[in-house]
Amino acid sequence: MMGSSRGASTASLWVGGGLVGVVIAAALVSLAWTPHPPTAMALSERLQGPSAVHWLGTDHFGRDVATLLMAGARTSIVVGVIAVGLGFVIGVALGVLAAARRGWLDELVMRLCDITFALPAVLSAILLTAWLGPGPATAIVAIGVFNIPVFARIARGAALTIWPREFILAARVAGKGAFRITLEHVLPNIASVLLVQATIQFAIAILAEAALSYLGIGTQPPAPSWGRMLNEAQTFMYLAPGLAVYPGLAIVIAVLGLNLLGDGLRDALDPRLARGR
Amino acid sequence: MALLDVADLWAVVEAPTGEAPAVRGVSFALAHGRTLGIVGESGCGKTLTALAIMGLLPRGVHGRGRIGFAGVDLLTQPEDTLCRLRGQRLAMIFQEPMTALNPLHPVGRQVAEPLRIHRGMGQAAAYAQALRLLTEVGLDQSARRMSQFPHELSGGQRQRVMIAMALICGPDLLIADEPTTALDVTVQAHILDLVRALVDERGMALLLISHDLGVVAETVAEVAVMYRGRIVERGPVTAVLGQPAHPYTQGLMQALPRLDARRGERHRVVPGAVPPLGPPEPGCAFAARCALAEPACRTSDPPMAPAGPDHTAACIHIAAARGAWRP
Repeated sequence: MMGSSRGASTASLWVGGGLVGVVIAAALVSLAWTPHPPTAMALSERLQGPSAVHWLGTDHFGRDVATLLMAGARTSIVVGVIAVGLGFVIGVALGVLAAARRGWLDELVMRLCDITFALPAVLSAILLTAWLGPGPATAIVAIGVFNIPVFARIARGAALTIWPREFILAARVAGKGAFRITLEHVLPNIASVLLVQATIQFAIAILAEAALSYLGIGTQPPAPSWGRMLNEAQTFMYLAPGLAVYPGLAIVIAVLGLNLLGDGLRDALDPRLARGR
Repeated sequence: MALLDVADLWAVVEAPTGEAPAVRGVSFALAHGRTLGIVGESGCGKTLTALAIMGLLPRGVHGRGRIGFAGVDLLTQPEDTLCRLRGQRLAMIFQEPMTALNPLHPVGRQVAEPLRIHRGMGQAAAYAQALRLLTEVGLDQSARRMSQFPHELSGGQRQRVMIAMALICGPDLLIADEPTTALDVTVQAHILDLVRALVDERGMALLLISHDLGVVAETVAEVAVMYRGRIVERGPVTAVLGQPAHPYTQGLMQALPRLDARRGERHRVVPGAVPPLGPPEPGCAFAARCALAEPACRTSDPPMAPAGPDHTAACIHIAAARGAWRP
């Protein structure tokens, strides 16, 4: 029973890592080389099927779909990394602060989290667009803000399980202050939980970026983005279904890969399982 | 002047139903080089007394009274002063060496850390001193163990590491809270010998907290018996454990399992259990479990009365209790 679940978790770690690796590799390669220039249009070659020249065909402007997917991976990863990074840094800082100080500060942070959670994310993103104008920065801020309470709650909850541990008391007995204890004892002990959550939030962020770009709030043309590709493919659904299928598949691969990776990491980093090894 | 002078210390637990005092007016003094044991059942306030001295009472527990340490009242000191004192002049070791070390850091780093915090020592110097001390506390292969993690050590080895960590800055006062409870009996004896030797050698004051009368008898010179947050008897360890004057202390002594007991002889225990925390009620706290209790015991709390040289007990029946006691 233990063996099979561990085998399954190892498998999800490798499969997830592999899928994520493919997406990252595509994004990295696109920095140096793409089959065609990402913004090169050739109206004479529009809406073609897969061929040796255009592996996955062309869209309604004659742009190469494989190229757009590779460059779109870059957009997704950049937006995801910055947005999740923003939410991670601010959220974890607030969470461990709340856990260390407790009292009114804890209440304040947690109620602010509740308020952020209560707002519908897409609606807030549209509000934000009205204020900042559409663009990747808006998408990053909108996604980042909604990551703050997620990480704040997780970090606080995990830190609260560390604080009553005896080695924290021992550290206080040794004369360490709350800041130092948080940095040296609390954060390393909750790092694995945060890492797993970050992987899953990254998947959510990629979906959110695609959704916002699909709505026209996120990445603006001509910058390539999976969500925009889906949006543009809509018009040609019956003429060229591949235009919707390929970016859809790309999103599935990225999100599935990250979720599997998160699951695998959770099991691999779980100290209760690690002890038996 | 005494190094540690605890006067009328109260620790009050805030509860939804009101305040419940867990430590009620404890007073004792401890000079450099002296050793005091505090014994009592679980929940009698021993550990809260120790945590109050360290300034580490849990949230929702308030200390009142005075804890004089080297001329200052620890209860009124701000947190950063306490941080400087802790680890440097005040040190404490715990019951569970298993959980009192951070599982993610090598033990050498954890032992050296107080030096780096309080003395601003560089890594190399701090590690060298940590290694010397780990060798001194009898950790075998100490050089190799410096880079090992807590889970790679046995319970006894971990407790030696804890002791080294507590002593590295040369504290004036060492509080040992059940230091050997989690250890095997043989290891226990080694650790107690070590603590006693280190205390003698360095002229520290030792406050040993234990529920184990044997541990206390072997390690300290003086003992205070606590019951429901009060000290009910105190004196030299030979007097208190040899001729206990308080019915509670006698109960504890009788409750010790004996190897020479006849087969089938009933093990004698103190009847009842420590009542749950609650608002203080009048009278002797032990009256409800005491065989000698009479109406007078339930109206006023008996003051400490002399029971021998340097030996006092809070009981109005000291003479009668002595007569009734059979070891």
